Amino acid sequence: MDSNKRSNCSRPLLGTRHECIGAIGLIVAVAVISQFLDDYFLTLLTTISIYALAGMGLNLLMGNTGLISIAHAGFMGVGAFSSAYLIHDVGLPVLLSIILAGLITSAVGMFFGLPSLRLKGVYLAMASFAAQIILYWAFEVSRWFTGGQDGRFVDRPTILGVSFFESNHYYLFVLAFTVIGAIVNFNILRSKLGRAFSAVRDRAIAAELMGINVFRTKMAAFGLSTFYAGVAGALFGFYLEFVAIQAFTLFISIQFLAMVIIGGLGKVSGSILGAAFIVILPEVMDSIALMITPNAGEMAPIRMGVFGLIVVVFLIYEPHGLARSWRRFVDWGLARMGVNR
Amino acid sequence: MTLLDVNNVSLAFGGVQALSDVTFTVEEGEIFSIIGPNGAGKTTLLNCISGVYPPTGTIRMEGVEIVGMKPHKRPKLGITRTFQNIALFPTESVIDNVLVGSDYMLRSGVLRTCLYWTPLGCSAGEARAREAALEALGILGLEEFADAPVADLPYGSQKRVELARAMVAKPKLLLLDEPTAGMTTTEKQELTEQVKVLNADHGVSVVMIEHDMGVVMKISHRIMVLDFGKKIAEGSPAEVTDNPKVRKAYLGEEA
Amino acid sequence: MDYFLALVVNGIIVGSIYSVVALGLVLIYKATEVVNFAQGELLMIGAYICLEIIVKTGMPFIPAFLMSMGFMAILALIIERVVLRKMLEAPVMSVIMVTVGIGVILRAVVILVWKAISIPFPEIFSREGVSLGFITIGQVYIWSFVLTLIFMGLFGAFFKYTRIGLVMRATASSRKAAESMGVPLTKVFALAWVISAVVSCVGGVLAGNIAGLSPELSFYGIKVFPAVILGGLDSIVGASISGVIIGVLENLGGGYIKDLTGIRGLGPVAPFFVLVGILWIRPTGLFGKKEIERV
Repeated sequence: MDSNKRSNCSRPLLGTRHECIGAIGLIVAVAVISQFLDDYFLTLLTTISIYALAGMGLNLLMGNTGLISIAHAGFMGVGAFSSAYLIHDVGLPVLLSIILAGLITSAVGMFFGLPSLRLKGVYLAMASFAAQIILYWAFEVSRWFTGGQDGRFVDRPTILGVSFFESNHYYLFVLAFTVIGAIVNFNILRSKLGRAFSAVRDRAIAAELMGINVFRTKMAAFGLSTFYAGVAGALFGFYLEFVAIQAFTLFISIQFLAMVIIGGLGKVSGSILGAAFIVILPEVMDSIALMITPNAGEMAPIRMGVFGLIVVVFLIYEPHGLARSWRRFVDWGLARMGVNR
Repeated sequence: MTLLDVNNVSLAFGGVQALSDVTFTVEEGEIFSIIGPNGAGKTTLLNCISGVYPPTGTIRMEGVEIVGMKPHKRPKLGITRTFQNIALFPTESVIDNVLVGSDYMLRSGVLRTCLYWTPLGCSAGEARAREAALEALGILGLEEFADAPVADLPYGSQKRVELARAMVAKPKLLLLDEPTAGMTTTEKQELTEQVKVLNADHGVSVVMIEHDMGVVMKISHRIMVLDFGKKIAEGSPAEVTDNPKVRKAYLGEEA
Repeated sequence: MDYFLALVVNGIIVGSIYSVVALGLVLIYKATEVVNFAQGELLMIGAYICLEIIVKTGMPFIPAFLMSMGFMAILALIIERVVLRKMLEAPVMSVIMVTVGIGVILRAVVILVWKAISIPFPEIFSREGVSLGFITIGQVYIWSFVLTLIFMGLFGAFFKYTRIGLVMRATASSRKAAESMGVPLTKVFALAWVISAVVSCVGGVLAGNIAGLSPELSFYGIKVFPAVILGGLDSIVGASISGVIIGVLENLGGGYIKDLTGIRGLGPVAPFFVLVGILWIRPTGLFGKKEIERV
């Protein structure tokens, strides 16, 4: 392993110059291309970006800090309903509402994270599992906030007279958040906080003796992670223009977990690749399923089964996720082309 | 000047008395070694000082009571340590491992981190911390491995990375738990020299647990002997070697 | 008062099924340190298989029940062999996730084969009520309670008096020690899965008898988490008792609290509030072992 590659995160700047230019080029390309796509592809792209944002949050918690949350769909719901409530019932401006929604989610997330100081592995998983169930029930019961089973409508945002109503314009809105989210994520990973996260994950007691406040670090992880989820939830609500509690079930939480595991734990690229994978997979499967069975009723379970199978296969054969596969692929390609990094 | 004042420290695990009434002081600028057979309570004592276990009795660092104080507050008081079984963060690079040691000094909350490059952000502090970390690695001859994954380093070098991590926090008191265990003879010699340099040139006092008598005799100013959780002797290397109790307990049949 | 007693008795009976499921969960955890998030799906599959055998072959209930237990044993062997044996060194999170994945697959299979609809179980125990003085209970409830007790007794005896049971208990208390004594760990792990799947099959068939079959049956696996946390993940007796406690709590939560506060749907959620509460106070469950950390 080339020693210069692994510590990008600790450098004062984002990786190498080439990687920087490459990343900016990619973002601009996606932004431009998105303006010419039809609604189907825009839906995919927007969902991927929003999921990637939520995935980054979950990955900070799971991959980087070694904690677990089976409640991220629930947290996303808190963000979605909060922003809808703040905009339509309180009348706050859109951007402020999104930030506040993030902070509210953060507060809820930290509350459920409070026992994490003393909880280990499975017990923490159970606690967050309970959080998902409790949050979903709270959504059902709080009609004033969520509209209960009926859900509630949200308008796509208009900021300073610029409307993001059209799907291609709204995509740019989402992309901006995802890019900022990714930059912040990189910054976290290469500074004190990121080091504290992995120190707590790898050796909590040693970390504490190095002067790291383990409790505060875990709280920061929960707070940040759920902030991402809250903002992602708000963006998701605007996109659908209708927030329904069914979008935040246990199964979606499980999908998020699968997303970061398949993508690659602890890596920003993992969050993005995982989101792309989890969004595109059902589409690909649907076209395959259509060949096998014309019966639409059978498609849902087939989709579900394959999803489960892929999770299991990934965990056994590629536990480091797509980020690792991608890295290997790039290295292999570069080696073939005779490029020496 | 007394730096560390340990008074009547006792600790029991269930029915096992791991430490009973241990009392000693460490003076400023001193290398103080703790020796004793396996299971004598040496590491437990170190763990009490660094806050892993709360013992009864008092432990004062420059007059400040530290029993019951949260472990993560130790570096701020100038106490850092290394571990018997290396406790590095295996997925990180060498320099990131060392940086963790100085992070307690760094002002860098969530918001500053998000604003990394801006004047309010934490990039300037990070850059300074990196320089300090590289300097500490330089003292220990590890500069060239700064960006290597720490898990790729040989055992002896990993132990030195731990030392660098403890040093970068600019401690007054360094706790070393078997710093030369598992090292080759050359590595041991190097490390002994480095500890001496840290002590002499950087003014760090050292409390060291060590099994290699050669190392202990060579660099210690004073030695304390523990047996079954009790202090059985204390004094200069010469005094301790001559003590009949020590010869019996520690050197066994050789006495 | 009668209302209260009715809720309690109902809770005990439903809770006894939770106990069976909790038993299965604890068995796997004790032996392999895996929390099986697919326990509910195992239960569901077991019930469907039993139904299928009865409907397709017209076999009487008892042999069909035994056959479905056999089927579950084989299924568990496959799961253990093909998936979990490869995850022995994996981190907790991955192992949890892999069992979640298995659960999703099993659920998908059930929906694919039997559709996501509710199918009534052939009436094996009469639904006719029996009066217990203050309350009238369907016979099927009483039967399920009795069968639960019998099976719990059988498993208890198995662990207490048989050699294999002893070996399994030894492995649970110290894996390292057992291994050094020559216990074949992989066989013990496999056996734990088999027994757990068979236990779930019992739970599934009983639950199916009461409420009919639907993919919703798999929620038993979820509902039982508060019970195992209450009882401690590593305590078989604790899990059995707290299964009943959770059942009662759920009924009281659904009954009283709804009447008092008008909040709907609190019943199924109440145990999870209890779960969070317990973990706040005791991080390893009410009767769980405390771990000592070393540097």
